[in-house]
Amino acid sequence: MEELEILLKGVSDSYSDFVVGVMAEARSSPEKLDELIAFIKNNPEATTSDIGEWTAVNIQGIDLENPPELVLVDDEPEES
Amino acid sequence: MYNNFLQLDEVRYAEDKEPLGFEYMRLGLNDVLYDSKTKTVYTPNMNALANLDGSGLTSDEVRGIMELRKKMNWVKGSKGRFAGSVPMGGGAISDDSDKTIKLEKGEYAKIVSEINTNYRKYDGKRICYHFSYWKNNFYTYKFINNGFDDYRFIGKWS
Repeated sequence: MEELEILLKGVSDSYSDFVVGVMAEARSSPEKLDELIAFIKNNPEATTSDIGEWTAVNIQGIDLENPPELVLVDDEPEES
Repeated sequence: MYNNFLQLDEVRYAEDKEPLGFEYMRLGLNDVLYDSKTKTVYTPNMNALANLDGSGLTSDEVRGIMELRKKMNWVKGSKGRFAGSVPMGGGAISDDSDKTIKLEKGEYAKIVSEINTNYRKYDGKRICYHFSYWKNNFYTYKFINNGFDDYRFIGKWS
């Protein structure tokens, strides 16, 4: 994960939310970590959007042309 | 004093008035405090501490949760407006279109507002991440950026 963090911070248009978010994605699918690192290394010009797109397809399994629908539900009571 | 680089009694001293002995520092609840040495963020009004060093965001969270739920209740339409309700049990859909991202209405309004406020950070980016908190937990929201105030959320992680 440390290597991934360094790579993410080195992306040309990197920002902190992006680093935190992609690392959370990687933690959710540790079996994809090496692939993700390889993608970033093999595509040094990749932008944050390129990487976000890669994780959407390869980790989340999302078709970006047909993304998941957002469902808004009533606010739930806050836990004390 | 308004910008917190002078405290009350310092101002009174400069004005040649007697100090009040007010020893507190005023911190706005709208600000979080970031410790660059420990890479932790403290949110005063929630008494919550989060690590940004990759080891985790909060001490008791469950990581890597993407909230994918079956269709229910309200659906977001274009430009973030409500687009009515989705019928329950309206037939089996077996592919990925069956997946939905669930957000509470207040949460959605808060996050969209924050993204709008900080839109400069996301301008020109197709896929974006926004780090925020909701109800005592920190989350990263992932969204497709279709332009200002037009976001399609595709992921949420704690």
